[in-house]
Amino acid sequence: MRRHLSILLTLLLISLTLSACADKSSAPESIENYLKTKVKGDADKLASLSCKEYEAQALLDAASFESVNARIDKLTCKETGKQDKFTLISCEGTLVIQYRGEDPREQNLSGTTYLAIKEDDEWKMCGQQ
Amino acid sequence: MFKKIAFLIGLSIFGLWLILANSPLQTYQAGAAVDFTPTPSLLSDPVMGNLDLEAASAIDLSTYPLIPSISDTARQIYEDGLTKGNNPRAFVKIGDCMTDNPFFLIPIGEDDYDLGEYSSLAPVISYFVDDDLDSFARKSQAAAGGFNAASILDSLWANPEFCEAGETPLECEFRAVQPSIALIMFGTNDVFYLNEAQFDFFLRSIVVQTIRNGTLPIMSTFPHRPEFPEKSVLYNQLVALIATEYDVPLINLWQALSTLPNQGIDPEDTTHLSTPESGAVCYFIDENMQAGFTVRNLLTLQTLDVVLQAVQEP
Repeated sequence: MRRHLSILLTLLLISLTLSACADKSSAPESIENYLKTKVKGDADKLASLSCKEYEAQALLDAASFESVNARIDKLTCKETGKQDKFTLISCEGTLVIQYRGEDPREQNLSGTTYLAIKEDDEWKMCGQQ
Repeated sequence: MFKKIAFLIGLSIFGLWLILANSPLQTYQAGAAVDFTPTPSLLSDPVMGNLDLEAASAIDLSTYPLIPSISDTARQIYEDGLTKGNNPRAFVKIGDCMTDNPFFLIPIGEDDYDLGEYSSLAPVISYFVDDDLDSFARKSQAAAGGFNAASILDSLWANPEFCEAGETPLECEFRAVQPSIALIMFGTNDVFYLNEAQFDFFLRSIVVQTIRNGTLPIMSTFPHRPEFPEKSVLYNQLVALIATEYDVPLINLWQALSTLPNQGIDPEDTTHLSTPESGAVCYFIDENMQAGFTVRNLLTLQTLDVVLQAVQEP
């Protein structure tokens, strides 16, 4: 009985650990989340996806797509290097913008490099260059 | 020999200090919110939340002329730009769908205009149209439908076909054209999507970046949005306040449109100005002067004329 209980507890511990890991985004995924949230204009969520230093800028970022409906298709981000404490991320995708019933217009994402940093054990958006 | 060189360098620095210490940018008086420093490149960054609503609300828009006069500050910004290599024969358009619009200035670049009684404006047109660049017809990276005042400061909006990595649409346009003048108008989308503090912050940021680039901002009040009458007035007061504080030219379009049918707005789409039935928005003859776009085009030409006259004075 005791043996079964310890196996059960071990399994429970392993599954909890695995699920916790699964919830953590990688550095590129954290930037993907940030960009997708940004074009939706969700300021509070954007701040939660940012490092502390970048939170104020995140609130400003949220305003820029407020006047349009936008999404990013085929968004993929990848790590391209390190710079001091930051992980450098570049992204590809197509920005699709629709404004007041006009035909949607599309453009590729610009070659901006994003800075990701691990803060409180989670990857956060922390700047761009 | 070394002492002579050191003396000359010292003299030059002192001379430069004297010039800057007496510059109009420092002696500017209207409004106390802007902490001017002697050189445009050292203008302080705007701060979100430093909005002076009381000062804005006190502004009487009807007292601003339709066509601005050009201050010493404006002239200094322009001259600073020329020393940086800006093109005296180039201007850029910055704004939303009111500006990125086939009816705004483009017909002039395409030679589809009639100056009528305003034939004295012909040299302005030829000055800004040459083989290399047609400022009237050029598609600006810093103007697009759906832009608000925040958008052109965001690199995610920059089109990589024309813009370099990391550039914002505003930086992209400035690099591509090196303009001496920027026509700036926001407000139409902003009254709906940005709050007062955001609008004030982003518009100031645009003006500061423009001045730092050595480009003279020519601001404009924007057309009335009938859905937001009070905010239209307040945001236009903010535009006027910012132009006053930075001592840069302001076209008072809002006032000019106030006497037109439907205040110069397309009744079926209030985010656009009205056009004459013929569509001839750059034919400055009586029957067309009741349309918003015609009036905006004429005021813009007249303001460019005033700027050219001011900066070309000895």
